[in-house]
Amino acid sequence: MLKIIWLENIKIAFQSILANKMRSLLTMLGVIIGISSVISIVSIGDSMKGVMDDIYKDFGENRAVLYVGNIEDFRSTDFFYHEDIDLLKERFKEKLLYICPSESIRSDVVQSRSNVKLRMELIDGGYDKVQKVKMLYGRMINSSDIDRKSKVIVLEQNAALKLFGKDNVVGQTIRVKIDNNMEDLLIVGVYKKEQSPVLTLLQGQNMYEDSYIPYSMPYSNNYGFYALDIFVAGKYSMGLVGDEIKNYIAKMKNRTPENYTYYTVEEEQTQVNSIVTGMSVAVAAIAAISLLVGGIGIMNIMLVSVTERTREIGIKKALGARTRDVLFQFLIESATLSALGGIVGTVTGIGLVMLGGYFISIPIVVNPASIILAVAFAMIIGIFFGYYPAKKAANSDPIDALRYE
Amino acid sequence: MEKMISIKNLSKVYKTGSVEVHALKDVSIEIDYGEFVAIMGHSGSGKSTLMNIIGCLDRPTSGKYFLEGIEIDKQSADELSLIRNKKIGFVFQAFNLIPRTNVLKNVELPMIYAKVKSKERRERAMELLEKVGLIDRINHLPNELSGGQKQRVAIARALANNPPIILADEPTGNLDTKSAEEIMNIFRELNREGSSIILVTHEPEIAKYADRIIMFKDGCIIEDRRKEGVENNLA
Repeated sequence: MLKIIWLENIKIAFQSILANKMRSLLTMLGVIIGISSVISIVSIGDSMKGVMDDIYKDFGENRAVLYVGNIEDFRSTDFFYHEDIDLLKERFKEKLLYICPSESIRSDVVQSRSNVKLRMELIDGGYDKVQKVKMLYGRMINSSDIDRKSKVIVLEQNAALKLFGKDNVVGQTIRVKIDNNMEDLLIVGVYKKEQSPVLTLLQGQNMYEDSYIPYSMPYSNNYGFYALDIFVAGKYSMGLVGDEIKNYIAKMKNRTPENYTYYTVEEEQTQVNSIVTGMSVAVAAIAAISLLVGGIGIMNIMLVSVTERTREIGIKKALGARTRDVLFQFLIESATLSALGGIVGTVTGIGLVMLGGYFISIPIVVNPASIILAVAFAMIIGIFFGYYPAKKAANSDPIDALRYE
Repeated sequence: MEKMISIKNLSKVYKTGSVEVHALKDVSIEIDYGEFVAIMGHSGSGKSTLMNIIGCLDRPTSGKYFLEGIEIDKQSADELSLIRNKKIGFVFQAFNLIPRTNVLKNVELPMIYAKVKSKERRERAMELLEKVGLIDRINHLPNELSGGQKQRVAIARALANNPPIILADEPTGNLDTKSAEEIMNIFRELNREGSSIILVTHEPEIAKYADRIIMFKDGCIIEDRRKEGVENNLA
């Protein structure tokens, strides 16, 4: 039964909002600006997080890079030699899934008439266990390749296509230049590189085609590597294992742990998250102020509206409107006004972010919860700031109201 | 049988600053079902104050007012709203239609507060507008109507919840002679159909339509007479 009044009140609210279009719009402006800035900043934050998460996932969340940290004071013995790597492998057998020099060799490859710039990444057997590698043909580099220092290579599909005009090239050989020597490498496999489009975008134009070779093959045993690529087993803490490795290697090399740097995405992720969170807090504060101003605008215009409609309120009371009927009428009107502002603000905010996202081609994340929250919050503002004017209208004496000119 | 309106020793005092104005002094009246009463008097005579009290818009300072046996000054503001809604149909001098709201909606308004369903409301409003001869104006806004038409809409609205009393405060005050006559004939007709009508006016020509005239002066009744030959419509 009460529904009748609700429905009528919503109709009345829309009528009076539409009757003063310009005024309603100006009143809503505060809420529109507040809500649209909240929505856009929240979704910029979410989108940024999304992009960063994609990048971290590509890199590997349990991945770390250990490198010689102190460039100003280093000795050739600080580098990682094959024997060091073997020692580390043995010592951290359980805690590390994978450890391998982090290095790649670039070479021009000429095959028939095509010239391709090839980037050969040094990997260990089992790389495909820690990173997703989609094999198209043949096999991946395995541990016997490492042991035997096999002259083999696994090409990325595009490299194969550019060199041979087809991608099934297992069994063919290519000639590459490694350490100033020309080497013939047997192609044992072809894979397809799968990378998030964001990362591709951020890396920009890549002139080199990708491939994998056994890390033991290119250099002699007295070659020192600058950095190591490490994957930590899931149940161990990235940080603690890092400290252990640094301590171990420092002791081995007669150095301090500060001579080595251990980099993980976890740290970076924490940093980015704290930036995003900090930004959100700052924006929330600004939004709160603009919504407060918007709310005061609504209160102001509702007071004007109540005064203008004093006589109407008197008539309605004379005809049987109770205090709460009048209260609800005006509360619904201010809630409708601010909810409309919230909806317009949400649409504007999303529109702006999508437009921006379109121009820098970054996927935009819009959290549906934030939309619902924004509109609900706008409505609450309307009810909160509309309460005083509505109460004033509801409590007016019908005789005074009828006499009002 | 209980009278429709029973007012006993009613007084109303307004305080403006330190000055007390005695708008009504110890007034007692009884009005029965089916009567057509005109309350007359010059401005300041207390007739409007009485009208407000009868209409449950105002409360007496002292004395008692029973409307259909309900002691009005004991009711809360919301209970009074309900009583006005069910028992009293108001017709004002200034028409008091809701602006920006069409004729049909204006007539439906008291039924909205009475929680009548939408379809029923519409049917009843159409029926009433037919009765006052405005069925072809239902979608017009009040400011598109003449004074006489506005007042007819107001009468249709007053009848919406079928109240026992129609309370008309100078209903012809803003109308030309011809429209005034039309409106008064509608009241006559309604009274003939059984509605009780209480009319407040200062014009003797208008008061002539009533069967009983109560004259006010300085907050007191100075005359209460029935037209010759009229006892009581229900008698």
